[in-house]
Amino acid sequence: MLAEGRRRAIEQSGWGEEFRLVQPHNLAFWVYCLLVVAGGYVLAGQISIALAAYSGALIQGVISFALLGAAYLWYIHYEDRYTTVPRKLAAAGFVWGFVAATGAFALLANDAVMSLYSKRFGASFAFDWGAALAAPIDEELAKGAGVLLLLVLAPGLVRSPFDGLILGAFVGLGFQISEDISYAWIGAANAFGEVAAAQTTIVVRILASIPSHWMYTAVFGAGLVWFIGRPDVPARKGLGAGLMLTAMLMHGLWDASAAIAGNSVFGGIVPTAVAAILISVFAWVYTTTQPLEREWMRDLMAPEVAQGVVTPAELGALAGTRSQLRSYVRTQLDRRRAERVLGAETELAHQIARDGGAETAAVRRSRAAVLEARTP
Amino acid sequence: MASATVTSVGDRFLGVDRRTIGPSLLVLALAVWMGVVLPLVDGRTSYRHEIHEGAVVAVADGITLVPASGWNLASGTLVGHSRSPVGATARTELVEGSVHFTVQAAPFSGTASALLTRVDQIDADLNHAKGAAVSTTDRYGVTTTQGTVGVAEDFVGVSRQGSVVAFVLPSPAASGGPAGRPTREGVEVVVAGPKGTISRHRDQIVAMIRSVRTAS
Repeated sequence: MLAEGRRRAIEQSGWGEEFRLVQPHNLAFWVYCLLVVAGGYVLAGQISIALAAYSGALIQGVISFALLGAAYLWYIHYEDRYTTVPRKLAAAGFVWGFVAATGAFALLANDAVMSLYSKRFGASFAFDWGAALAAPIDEELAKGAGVLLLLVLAPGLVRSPFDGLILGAFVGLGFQISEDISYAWIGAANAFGEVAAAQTTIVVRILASIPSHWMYTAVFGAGLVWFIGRPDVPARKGLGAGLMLTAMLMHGLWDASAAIAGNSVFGGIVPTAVAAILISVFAWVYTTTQPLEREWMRDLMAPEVAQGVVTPAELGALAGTRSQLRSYVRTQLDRRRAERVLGAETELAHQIARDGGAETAAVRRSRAAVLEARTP
Repeated sequence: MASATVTSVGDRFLGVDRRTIGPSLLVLALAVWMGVVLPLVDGRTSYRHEIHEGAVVAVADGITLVPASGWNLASGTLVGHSRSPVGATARTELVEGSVHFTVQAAPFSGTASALLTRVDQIDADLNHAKGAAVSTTDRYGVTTTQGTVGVAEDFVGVSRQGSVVAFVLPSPAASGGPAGRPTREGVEVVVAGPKGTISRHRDQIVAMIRSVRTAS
């Protein structure tokens, strides 16, 4: 019964499967490659300008945002603690966001749409509302297109809305870092090459990095998975479409903060309130998408409880929310050892999934590592 | 270990798994729409809101310019027409046919001559990277109706010609210089168009350049 639950959890979640990008019989692979190359070509033109005249600002942007990107990559991976998205799939998502979504979609479309708003409704209208009406649609669709392609490339791996959320976060982060770097040197370009202007832009972008692309696309990705449905997640078209629209709305609200506030005393309050709303929406989607992943973790590790390798309390922490995990650790006499044991048990879960639930030497070694972690 | 692909099933069309065709073409169509169609539509769309007599452009916070009527404001905003504040760093573009009148404003603590030297250096770097050959004339002075003296030069490229003018104005809005002293505002005006067309708009262009002023 427990073994059957484990087998079903592995099968339903796709946990342990590897991601292979090169799939010649999959059209999504060719479209992915084509658009990454096209985006790379457009970005190369931008970078050549930056290198020629604003190299100092470009280098500062690259270093600063590489560090910021590394911090967010770590954080997203940290939050993806159940049936984790494989690194190669996460990398493919990041590259799509960094290169294709910016170069092949957003740069071209945003300029065109902003210009069209200016031509049709006047430049002052575009000045106030152009970015808020162009970027959320163009950019969320561009990034969402990447999540869709990767879903077609890895249908066995993207099995829950939470997978969509995490994959979307990686795609969005790639876009965000690419955009941040370009804003750094454009900031210098707009200030007659003054590198100090790039530094100001860098600080502002870092401070505003939480309610940003990684968060919008995470919400969009979860919505896309709900909209399409997965073998064990029935499609919920309304919820899915609602979340994708919410991602655009969140993005639009953020971009429109300055125009909403105008010259009023609410200049600082509006962006803060908008950021609070965005973070609340993200937190709701995050907690709403988790239960299925936690159920898979519970089913996968239940046989280990029966064998006495994992205690019921530890399983509760492993398959619980982040706060349940923290509460469990806090109640232990030796907290460091408790964390060590949970870490070893997480690795055991991954090994069991990688080996398809079979009793392999690697699984036995991971089990022994759990026992070893218990020793003071 | 399993591998997450969909290519194991034999249901293929021209060697491609049928299930992957629909979503992939959807993404490709979106890319064509956003990367090709929208820019084409934009290129074929004309301006509908030409500037009328009495309009004033907010070049930056506290700095304005009077545009020639009949021109179009491609980017930037008119005074009193936008909710968003115009910052100390801002860009404005006015268009009349194929002639573009671009104004870039940002805090700058040097002289107008130093600003033009800075702009020339950036342009030289960019032209070198593009392999473009552009020759410039000697510098000459330009004075606004408010009395601010700027520095200008003309340039001629392969297919375009124009002028670059630099002003440095006192700006009540710009601050944050060394020791908290207010900085000054640099304004770069670039007028460019196909050879022969600029001369037809010469009087309007000169009037616009001379109308750059700080709020009194």
